[in-house]
Amino acid sequence: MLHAPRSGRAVTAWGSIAALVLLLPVVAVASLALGANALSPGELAHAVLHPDGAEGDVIVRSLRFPRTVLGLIVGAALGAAGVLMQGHTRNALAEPGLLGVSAGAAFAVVLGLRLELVQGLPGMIGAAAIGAASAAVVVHTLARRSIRQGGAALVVAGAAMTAFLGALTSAVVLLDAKTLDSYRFWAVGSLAERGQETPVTVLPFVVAGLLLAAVNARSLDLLALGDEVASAMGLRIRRARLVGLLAVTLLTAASVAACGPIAFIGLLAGTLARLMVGASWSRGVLAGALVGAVLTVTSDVVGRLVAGPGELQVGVVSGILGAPLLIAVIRRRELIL
Amino acid sequence: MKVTDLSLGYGERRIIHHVDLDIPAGALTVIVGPNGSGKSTLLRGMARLLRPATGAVHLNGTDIADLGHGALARQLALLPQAPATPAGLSVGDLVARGRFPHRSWYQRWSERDEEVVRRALSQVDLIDRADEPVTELSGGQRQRAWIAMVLAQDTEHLLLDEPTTFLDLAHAVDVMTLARSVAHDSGRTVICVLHDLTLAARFADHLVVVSQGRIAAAGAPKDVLTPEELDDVFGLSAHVIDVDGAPAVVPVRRA
Amino acid sequence: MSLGVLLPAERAQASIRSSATPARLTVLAAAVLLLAGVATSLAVGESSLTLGQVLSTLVGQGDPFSRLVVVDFRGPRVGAAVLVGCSLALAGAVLQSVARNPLASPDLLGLNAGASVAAVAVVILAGGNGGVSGLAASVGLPVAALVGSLTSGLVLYLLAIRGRQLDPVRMVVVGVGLAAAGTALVSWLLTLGDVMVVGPALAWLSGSLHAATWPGQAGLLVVLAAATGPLVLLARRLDLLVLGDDTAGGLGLDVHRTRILFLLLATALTGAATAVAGAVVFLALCAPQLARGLSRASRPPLLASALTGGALLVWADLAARMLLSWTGFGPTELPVGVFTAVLGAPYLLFVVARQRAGSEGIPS
Repeated sequence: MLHAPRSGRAVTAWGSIAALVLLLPVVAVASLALGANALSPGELAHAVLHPDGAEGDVIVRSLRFPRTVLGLIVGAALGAAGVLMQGHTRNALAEPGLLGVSAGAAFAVVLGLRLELVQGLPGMIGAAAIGAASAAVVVHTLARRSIRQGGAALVVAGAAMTAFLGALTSAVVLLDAKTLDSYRFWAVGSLAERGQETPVTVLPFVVAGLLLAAVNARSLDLLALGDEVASAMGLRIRRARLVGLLAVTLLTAASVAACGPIAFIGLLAGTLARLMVGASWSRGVLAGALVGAVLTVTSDVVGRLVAGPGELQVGVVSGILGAPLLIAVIRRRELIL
Repeated sequence: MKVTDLSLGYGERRIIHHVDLDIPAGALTVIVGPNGSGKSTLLRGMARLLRPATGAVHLNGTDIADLGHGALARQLALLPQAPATPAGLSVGDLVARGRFPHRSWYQRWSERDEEVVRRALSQVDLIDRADEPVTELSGGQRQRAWIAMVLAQDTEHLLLDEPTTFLDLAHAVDVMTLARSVAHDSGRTVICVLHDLTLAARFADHLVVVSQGRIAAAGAPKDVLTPEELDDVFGLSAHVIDVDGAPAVVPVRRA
Repeated sequence: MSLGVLLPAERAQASIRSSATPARLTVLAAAVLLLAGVATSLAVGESSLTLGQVLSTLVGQGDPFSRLVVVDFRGPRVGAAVLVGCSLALAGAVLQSVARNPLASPDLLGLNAGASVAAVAVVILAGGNGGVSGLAASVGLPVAALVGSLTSGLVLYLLAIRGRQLDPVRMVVVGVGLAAAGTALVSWLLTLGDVMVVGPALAWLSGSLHAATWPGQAGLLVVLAAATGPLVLLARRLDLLVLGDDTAGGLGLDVHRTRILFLLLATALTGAATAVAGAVVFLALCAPQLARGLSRASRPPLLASALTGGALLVWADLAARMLLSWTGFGPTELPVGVFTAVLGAPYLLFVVARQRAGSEGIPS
């Protein structure tokens, strides 16, 4: 990290954040207008301002509007979760998908549905939260010794956790054709056809998670100097870790329950956010949430455009965009933050 | 060993620039230099782990670029800096691996192999610990086990890259005593990279000072290590005094 | 420091190298376990046979019914378990030595993922009702899996090598990335097909020997046989590779070429095995380390690893086959890959948790 004068660095950081805020409406409008059935600006304005049940109005209001809002919410959640996880583990590769947290949420949801313990989205979010938190705690505990060096053991533990939970998930869905059929569409990570209420239902969870993340980010600035220094400065380390875990759990669980596991958004958002705002975690969480929202909606639009008349699910697009980035991160940068 | 016009680097980055060097046979040559001067790179080039950008390294008149992998490994052995020790490998097995270049794939373990390995182990005083895992040994013993492996390679030339790193002074002296006796008692040519000037001055027969990818000085330690040279190359103000017939470097104490 | 050639009397007899006895015992034990597993698997099932019936059938005696059960019903599956187990364990043993990392295995390094993407693409795009058949199954699937795993092996190699040096940690992390990318692609492919095709494809992906046939494993047999020769001849070079690039180079090994050759062999074994059984995960990770521990060796021994892998998979498949019918939990059987993952992943987590940061070949 280059040490530019502090004020200059902060100006660049806030400039990037402002640019992201301006980018949000642009991608949102694009998401409303573009797709298998592209709309002109006039049609779009018509649908937004004076809807009268024309074809364009229906497409925008009942299909594209919910998925755009959902994309913004879920993207912000995953982006902030990615930044938080990278801060707590001091690992440039930490994100919900790679560390098994999403897999934990997914398994809990599938198991809950199969055993008919949960119903509807709130129940799924609850199950996902339990699964996500358990997976996060197990991976973090097992690889804790290596976290000080910020090494690859964490990533390997995450991969093992993902494989383990993935196998259990396969076992559950393979025993039941009905679960299998809905599972495969959910598992790929998609914003499409999630219903009108889904954004409304997940919003409170994501807002709570983002608030916790914002609070926690200040602790991360201290934790970045090492546990000893942070605690000497009066930070309660255990509480900071717990708040972080709670925030990551809420954010991941809400997004996984709503859209299925979407890989790499957290990684992309975390990496880009740090490039933009530097070493400040407070600004990093904000930037990460914005980057996540922009990326998710953009990936969704790209998926609709490249594969028309069908579509590529957002999880596939983010996977295809994210994997090269992951490898670039491994090759170019230090893994330790 | 003779180095002529040798230039080395990694990719585009050139580290060693047109170096000429004569290494005396049957003696201990020590290469020193400030951090980043290219001394380890020079050693890697002499061992052909790096291909030269210009120039060549000759062993007894043959360009090492013309030798096969096995032929080179029978003439020149290299101990890298901080080598990786697999868990569970016994000292005897480690040293036995030094015999690889002397055996083709169809050859079984021979009496000769056994004898050379035993001699190498005796030389480093580890013959009684051959069954123990290398990872159980202390730092100094572990380094001696690795030196035994390159001794078992039974080569005329021996290249050691910072063999005293991570060792305390007593063990470092142990290792350098061994290196010197290998050169003097069996007439092998030993070349050793060190960062510690005091150790280098006490043990070297021939001292080479590398600075910014070039040879700054080469010769007997007492001729090379002068206060002017130290100031010039290392930016170090030091007295050089004679102790037991070898120079010793003592930093100047400022008030 | 003594310089003479003094040989203490007690060492004069035995070789200075460590004893081969633990290694031989491991090979023997694994072989016994493998044979016992094969015999039991052939005998146990919906219609049980006695061990005598199985043995007489195997030597060509047996009554027609036993022959039908042993040769036509259960044989292909048991044969595939042995071949797949041996091949994957060999691939794992080779990769762990080349990468100097006990965590290196085809699944963690993303080689499985490459094979899976290619094979699922064939199943989904060429498959009719209930999976592929005919030419697409017998030629297309194995070739696709082989190409897929070779492709990811190539990508892995290009990305994990910097300045002709292999970084053991980098290699595993790059592999995890490749595997994650492969998973995303497979998820997408699964949404394209009909649910009747997706079910078998997902079962295959989870690693299943259910659909094994004799012709289907001919390709694997060829690859395994072809790989055995070079592996036997070059095994000694693995002893050098585990000492690190510079040491191996100093001992006269052409490190670059040797490594590419071993990676090719491991990749081919993985691809061929994946074509037969799908992603049987964690076997290639555990079997070599088990064999290494029992043999007290400095790297996974090849023969012992292969036999251990075969034995583990035969028994795991038997368990997967019988578990549900014994517990009465459902009519469908679990893919054996689910079984190996549920048993193997905790082992991997245990390895990660136990290892001390900074010790040999281990990501710190």
